[in-house]
Amino acid sequence: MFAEVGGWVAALCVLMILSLLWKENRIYRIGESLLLGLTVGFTFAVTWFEFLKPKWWDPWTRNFGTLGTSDIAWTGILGGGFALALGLCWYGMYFKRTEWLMRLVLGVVVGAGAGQAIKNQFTQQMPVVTASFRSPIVVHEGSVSAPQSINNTIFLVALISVMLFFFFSVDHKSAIMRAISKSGRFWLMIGFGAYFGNTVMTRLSALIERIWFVVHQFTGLN
Amino acid sequence: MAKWLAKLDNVDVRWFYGVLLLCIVLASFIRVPVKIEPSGEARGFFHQIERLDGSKPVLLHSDWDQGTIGELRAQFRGVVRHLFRKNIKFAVVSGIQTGRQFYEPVLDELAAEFGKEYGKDWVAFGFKVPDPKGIAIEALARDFVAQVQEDDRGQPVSAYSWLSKTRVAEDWALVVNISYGPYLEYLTYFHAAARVPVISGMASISSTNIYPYFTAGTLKGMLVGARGGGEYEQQLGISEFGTRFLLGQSAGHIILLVAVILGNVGAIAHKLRRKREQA
Repeated sequence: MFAEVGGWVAALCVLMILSLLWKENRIYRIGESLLLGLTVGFTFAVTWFEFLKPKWWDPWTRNFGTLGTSDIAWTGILGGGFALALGLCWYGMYFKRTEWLMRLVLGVVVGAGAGQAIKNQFTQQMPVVTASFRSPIVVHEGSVSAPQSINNTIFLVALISVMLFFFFSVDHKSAIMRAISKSGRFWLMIGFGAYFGNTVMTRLSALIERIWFVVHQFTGLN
Repeated sequence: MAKWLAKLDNVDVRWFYGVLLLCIVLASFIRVPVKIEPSGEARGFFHQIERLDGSKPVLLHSDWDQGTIGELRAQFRGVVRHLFRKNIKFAVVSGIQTGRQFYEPVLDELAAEFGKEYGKDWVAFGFKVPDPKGIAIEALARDFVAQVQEDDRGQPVSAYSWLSKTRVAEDWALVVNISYGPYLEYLTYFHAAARVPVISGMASISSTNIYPYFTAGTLKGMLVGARGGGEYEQQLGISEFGTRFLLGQSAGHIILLVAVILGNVGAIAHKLRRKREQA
């Protein structure tokens, strides 16, 4: 019963949002506000109950119970307090006099991010770079594999021409450089086309699923 | 004729929306068998689960919700079905707050179909991979138990004997990441550091710059968008939502292509007409 009512409310919300396709209207505005409000409330509640509470609040407050005993859990008390202080520093950005506090915590985050990025460069990007060194002639079981060789040759041509397109230490005035540069632009256009095509596909998939959901709600068709 | 064609340049866009919606609605009623040849990346994805022997559990990262349900639900269903079919135990984590609301109904439905039991065959932990993802994933790889602490039902990890010994990255058989865009940190902390294979299902929009990781061999398999869900169903020998969805997507693509062609014809005709009038 509850799920059924929920389904109808969801279908109604989808129609409210889709009404924008006709024109900007009040029903769409209500739907948009409803969605945003729900998202913010839901995100806050889940972040608190599924993450912050079990991982920070509960252990921290539990440690306060040790105060007054012979085994005071100083590490836990100070650790939790330090995390809270560091987190509150973010809000320093709202006042001119406390802006420096935000920079403090920003430094920690940027430092951690930079450290990770360096590690990621080696573990994620290096295998991709080394895999780019392909032979234009592929020998498979004693004979040249034509499809693989053609594939690798196209790959190498694309790789070299795109890299030269962005190589500005040499003037692109000579006929050879101009031709390579033009070829690089051609390959880049293919890449951007693939990006755009995939973007359209994802957006369309989101629309189709919602439309089918509404159709299912009205017709009962699965 | 030219006058009529020039009108195409100024068609009210709402006509296009109307035709698109109508075609999508009609496609939902059509039932035709669709046969898809699985791509190399989808076969790689399937093979990674197929080769598992069940000695170690699988870490399943589920990050799909209302925005990506069209593309990722079929992928997630396919993976869970495959794991249940092969009696592979798995743990589910999510990096988005709405993750649980979407994976739970699928898990419950398929568990009932395969006669599987929560806690014995799988455990779900909910939103345990917050931002910044890199740090949270590193924490998962270093000490899974410390990072997740308790599951969706408030039970500690120690309540599940088969999972309580799974602490570091090496203790997993495979990482399956179903999300809008794959988290490449899994490659750093699970594949590069512990040689645990990583496979990923993603939305089409994110796939273009992920292909190099597949061709380099670091990402062992990929499912791309709605097509990936359909390909996986074909490999499992079933035809469900993922396969049927491709029909709706094809209908939408045809309408888009026709609209692009007509729009261009209209623009050219309009230009020629203006030129002729000026002359």
